Amino acid sequence: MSEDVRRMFFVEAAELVRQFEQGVLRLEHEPTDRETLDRMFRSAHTLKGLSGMLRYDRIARFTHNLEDFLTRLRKGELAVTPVVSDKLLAAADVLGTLVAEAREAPATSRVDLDEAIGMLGDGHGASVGPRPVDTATDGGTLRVATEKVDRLVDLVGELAVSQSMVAELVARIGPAGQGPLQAAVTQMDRHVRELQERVMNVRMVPIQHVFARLPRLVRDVAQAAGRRVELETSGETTELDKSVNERIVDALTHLVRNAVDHGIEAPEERQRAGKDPVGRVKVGAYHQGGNVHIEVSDDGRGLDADRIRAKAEASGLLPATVVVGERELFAFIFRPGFSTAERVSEISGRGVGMDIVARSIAALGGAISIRTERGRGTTFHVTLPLTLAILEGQCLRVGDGVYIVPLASIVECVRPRASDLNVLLNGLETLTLRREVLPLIRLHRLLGVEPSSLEATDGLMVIVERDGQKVAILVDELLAQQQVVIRSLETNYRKMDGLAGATILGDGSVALIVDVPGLLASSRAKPDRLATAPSTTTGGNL
Amino acid sequence: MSARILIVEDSPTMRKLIRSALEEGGYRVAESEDALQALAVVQEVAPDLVITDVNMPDVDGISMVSQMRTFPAFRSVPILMLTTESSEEAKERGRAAGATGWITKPFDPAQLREVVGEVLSVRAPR
Repeated sequence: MSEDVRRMFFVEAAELVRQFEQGVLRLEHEPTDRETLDRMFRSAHTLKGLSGMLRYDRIARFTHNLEDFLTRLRKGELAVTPVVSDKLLAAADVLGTLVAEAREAPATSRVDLDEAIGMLGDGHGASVGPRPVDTATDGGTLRVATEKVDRLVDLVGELAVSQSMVAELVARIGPAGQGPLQAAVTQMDRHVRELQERVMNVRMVPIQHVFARLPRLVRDVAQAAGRRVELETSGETTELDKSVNERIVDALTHLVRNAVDHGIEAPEERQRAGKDPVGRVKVGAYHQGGNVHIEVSDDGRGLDADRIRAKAEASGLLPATVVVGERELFAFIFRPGFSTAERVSEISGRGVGMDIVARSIAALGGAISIRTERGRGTTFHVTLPLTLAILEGQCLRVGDGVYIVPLASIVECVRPRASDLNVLLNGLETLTLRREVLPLIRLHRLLGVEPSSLEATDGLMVIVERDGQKVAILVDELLAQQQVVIRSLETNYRKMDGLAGATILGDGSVALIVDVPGLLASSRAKPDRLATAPSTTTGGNL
Repeated sequence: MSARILIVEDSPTMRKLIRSALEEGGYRVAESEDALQALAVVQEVAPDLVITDVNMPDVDGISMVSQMRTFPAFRSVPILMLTTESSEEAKERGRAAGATGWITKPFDPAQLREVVGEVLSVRAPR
């Protein structure tokens, strides 16, 4: 075979391996993307055909098995789980090595072909059966099915509720009858709390699992975008709930991708600005105040306030006459359809933007904020609850019902004065608070219930905030604050607008949890509906 | 005048391999790197034989064959498909679409020339 063909093969093979690897990264982002899978399959297929022709038998054998593996993915027999995408990345590595070895023909290979093929072979186990929780710590480890742990968590939640029922009954007996009974209840309360904490802790896994994929990602994105980037991670041992961990992967991947692709400048540009041509991306995690904090920062060009302003005006999100602070302005990048990337780059992908990141973080009960300095870099700060199952809540009353607003989202509560209330031309009601005009949401209208009074001045305004956006929620009365165990509404009732879930209170009654991100989203999407139209759903079945 | 053959194949290395093998047999060769391009140039090139890959982006080889068969001038031009031994099903679909036969990858140059010679010798006179 001619030297020409050999040379062509190595160029093409390198490109095919690169395409395959990029496919894996894209697949991690959109696990069901058919087109990506097809492209990956074609890469493997072409490589198989070529290596067969050129008698590179090791490549041919491996790609043959890889093709089978991909066929199972294409047929849906296997889902793209983190385990599977790890295997695909490992396969990309094997391919890269095999191709390099075909060219250099070393005396010994670094690839154990049977082992590499075996890795693909046992892929069946990756999607079948309950996925075990990795309870690995320094000492002995035990692999337990997630469902078993979840059942425990549920039961302990029930126990906590029963416990508070007992406590309330004892409190009702009055001081005369209490005595030793009260002491016993107090002790039991302490034990139940500790038990709850311990059980929740079983579900905690180090964020390491998520961080482990980042070096590869950074390398690949940097390469494709023509950047030179060094990644620094810290706080790998920080633990968070397994389900939070799993659901934060995509958002974190996007933030890091974004930092490399859009944050860090090209090496020449950095040099011109007197910076190290090698950019730095830092990803760190830590615990603070009952939350997990994750920061993704780069030492790149920083956000351009003028450009964001221009883009927000151009896309009709912000009237030219409105003055907003930088913080509010930067919050625009989390709006759907907003992107300052001037080109749709291969790396950042289409249609997956910061709005999806913000939404998925909000769905986890977390928040995201930005710190940025022109020419110095940008930091995205993500705050997440330790667990999805427990919430610090503020109970409030609307009519006869008790509702819960996550304490973390409440800024303050005020009793409104008539002079601060206003109705805009489009029917939107507003509350003016220290010269800031906030949309007003009447919770009773949204929920379709009868309030104690229709006069806003008789009620209380709960001011909630997320991503720099505030709304005032009108309620009848504030009640106690308490820790509640969240149950999904969809499993028990049908999905309702404005509600995120339900919980059982100490007295055994059901309280609904208000969906703050949902309220904020609808207050900016359709202002009229909230203020004028009665709610389409009712809470009648509760 | 030696026969003219159109190769439709997205891999440049594979195109080169096929071209070399055919040119060594004295054939004249034209190339297309995808099915759409092939459909656009095929009337102009007026090949005596088409050799096409199956697995290609956008439009695959099989769809291309059935498209070509709708062109009046191409009802009887032989079309050979390049497949791998594992895709029995692709061969069947290829036949149904109107392919004349197939060449299994990997092939060696002599084998390719042999199949091509055979197909060209039995082709219907135009």
